[in-house]
Amino acid sequence: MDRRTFVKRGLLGGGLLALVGGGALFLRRGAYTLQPPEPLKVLDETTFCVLVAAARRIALADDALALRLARDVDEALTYGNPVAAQDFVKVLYLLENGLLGLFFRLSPALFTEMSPADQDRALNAWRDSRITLLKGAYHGLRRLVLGAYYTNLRRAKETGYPGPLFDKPAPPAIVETEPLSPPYVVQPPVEVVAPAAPDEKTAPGEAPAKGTP
Amino acid sequence: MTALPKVPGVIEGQTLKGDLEVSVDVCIIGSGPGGASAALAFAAAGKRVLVVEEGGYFTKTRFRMREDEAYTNLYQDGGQRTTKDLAISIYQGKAVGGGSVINWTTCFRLPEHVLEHWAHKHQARGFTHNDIVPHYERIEKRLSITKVDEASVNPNNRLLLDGCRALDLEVDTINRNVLGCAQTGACGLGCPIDAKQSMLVSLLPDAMDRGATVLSRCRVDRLHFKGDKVSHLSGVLLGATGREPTGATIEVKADRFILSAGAIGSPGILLRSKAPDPSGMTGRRSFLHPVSICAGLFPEPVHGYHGAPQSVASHHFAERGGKDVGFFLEAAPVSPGLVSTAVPGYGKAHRAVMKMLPFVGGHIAITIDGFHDDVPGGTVELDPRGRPLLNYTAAPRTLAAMRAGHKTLAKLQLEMGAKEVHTLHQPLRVVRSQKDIAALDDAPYGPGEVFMASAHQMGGCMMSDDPNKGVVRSEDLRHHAVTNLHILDGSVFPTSLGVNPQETIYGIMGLIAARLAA
Ligand SMILES: Cc1cc2nc3c(=O)[nH]c(=O)nc-3n(C[C@H](O)[C@H](O)[C@H](O)COP(=O)(O)OP(=O)(O)OC[C@H]3O[C@@H](n4cnc5c(N)ncnc54)[C@H](O)[C@@H]3O)c2cc1C
Repeated sequence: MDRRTFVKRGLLGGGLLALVGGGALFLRRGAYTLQPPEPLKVLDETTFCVLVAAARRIALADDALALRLARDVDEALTYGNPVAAQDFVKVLYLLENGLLGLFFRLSPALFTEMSPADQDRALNAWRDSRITLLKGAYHGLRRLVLGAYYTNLRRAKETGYPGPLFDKPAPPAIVETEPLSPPYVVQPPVEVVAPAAPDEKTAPGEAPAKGTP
Repeated sequence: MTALPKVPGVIEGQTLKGDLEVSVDVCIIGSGPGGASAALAFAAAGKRVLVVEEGGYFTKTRFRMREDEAYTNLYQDGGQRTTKDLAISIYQGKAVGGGSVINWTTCFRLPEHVLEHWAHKHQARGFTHNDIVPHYERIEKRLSITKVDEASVNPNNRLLLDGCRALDLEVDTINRNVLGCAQTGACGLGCPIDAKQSMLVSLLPDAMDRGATVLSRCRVDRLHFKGDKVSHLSGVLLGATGREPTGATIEVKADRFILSAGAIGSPGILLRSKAPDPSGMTGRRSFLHPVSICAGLFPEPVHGYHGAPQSVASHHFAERGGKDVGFFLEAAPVSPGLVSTAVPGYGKAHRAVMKMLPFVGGHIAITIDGFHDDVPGGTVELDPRGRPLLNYTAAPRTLAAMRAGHKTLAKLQLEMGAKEVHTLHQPLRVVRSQKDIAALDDAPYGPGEVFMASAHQMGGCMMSDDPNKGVVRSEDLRHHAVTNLHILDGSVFPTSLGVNPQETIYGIMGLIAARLAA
């Protein structure tokens, strides 16, 4: 892309981003009929479907897994910065956006309605874009989906990773108003003395006297 | 308003009902290395101490070496924090114990020349290396900081050790703060057996045994000022997952406030509070030790996800002289989730690299930012919801150091028998020969063109004895314009350190806390 085209497209892209940011969507709507496995927390039905479509390509996921990954990303977003999460929703609208596609991919098709090859082309257009924002959006999308895929222990094992060195029982589920851990038991303060030399052969769980519950 | 139960130990914020009003001698914001050092000193001096911490009270029963649990529970923004331009992934702790709960246990004392640089260049002359030494010695004893025996390094670190030796680079095993380490490789996920001597199992319990209270899941919103003092702070209590406020608020009055919310967190609170800022330096000079990574594919399994993640380091290139930014070499754990987000691409190409995971050696070049006038660091800003956001663009000299780091690591990995080396560029760069290493001179280093990360955030509230240049003065890390506010954490450093930061924080904050509590 030469400099003039880049500037032209860049300005246009920037304008569209601003429009999406302002809520006015130049968006022909698709069908968006996929059902999330659980109620959505950050995404809406449109962006959920866009994410499912992206997850199919990014993680080579079948339909069931793509739904699961999109749900996991939705959950992960609740732990992130809320402003960044809202920006991510806008990013998914942008990816779906036909008008933007017309300028960046020379195709007005909706992302969710494209062939897999065209979806890859759309992702690659962002990847190779000289607009930092789009490049960043591509990496953000990619990392969230791949992170959701590979932080799952069962799927991580597909890489040959054998899993943790030993098993630990699952702790009680986290309940919003309940303690996370048993209370700390205060001990009479002792003068801090030099700890014993580490014993390489210490078995898991036998470690230090002063630990957490 | 209700009072906080007067008990030493940990009170989990999510279990409390109703708005709270608390009055103590010393209120400490943040429970990482800086905050825990302060808590122990003041509690030992008989002060009523309250530590407020946004993160949750997670202990070893919840540390199961699982990435899906650890990042959401123990990392800022669930592990998704980045710089404003999305170009640099920022890993930072959020838990009782702060970053010490998830760090990789590497310990170094601060090189003396860094302290000299701060004194000359930034007028930070309030303590000398000799002042800090007793505090290094104390923490080295307490945290069992000992040198790794060469026989116990894992294959990933062994590649670095032998590779440096083969290239004639200065290299050694490092010190770690562990006691009875079982080599799980899960330091970054919370130690499952409390072998890591994090703040969770050391200084915080020591402080609680002396009467301190830690209130978890309490996010400080802002400090309030009256005259030249902080009158009180206000904050909210959060649910157990830390995502939503419970609706309960808290107000803490104290004679003295210690801000230890970490680089990014501490300047964020000052900005949100509209704290006086005579030097205009609040949020400025933030440093990251930005990291470039080489993933080498070796013919034999490396199993870089098990064993101590870091046990070897080379500071051969730390001082490159002239205008060149230095860097140092270490290993990184090859955990599947972490690696998956760093490897470029997606679909088949990405999967093919991931399938090689057991054979991947992961080594990093950590660039030393902040020592040159044209490497001024980044700026902490507030996002529309008042959360801190780091605006950091790596300076050209820093990028040049990252390139040099890539070239060194690629050479080292090839020397050690790697069939190919991935520099995590987009478009993909695969190094198989000396010619490919030379070709890295043309590789792009713009935002999004290469994977960059940081686990060492520093600065943002820099110390200087000149009130026009720094946020705090160095002798007691007191805010220049707020007489009962001290900042004790990694945010006060005027530059990055050139070594992994935790022991410097224990040393300097231990010294200053002892001075304040005396
Ligand atoms: C993955 C990883 C690996 C690392 N490995 C190493 C290593 O091997 N060696 C080494 O030396 N260093 C390492 N580090 C860095 C080291 O852990 C940090 O430099 C150190 O923890 C910083 O200490 P601190 O006290 O400045 O801040 P932190 O440890 O960041 O503590 C600040 C605390 O303040 C809390 N806080 C923030 N805002 C608020 C608020 N508004 N209200 C209440 N609480 C708040 C945070 O939740 C946090 O717990 C690593 C870091 C990471 C993330």
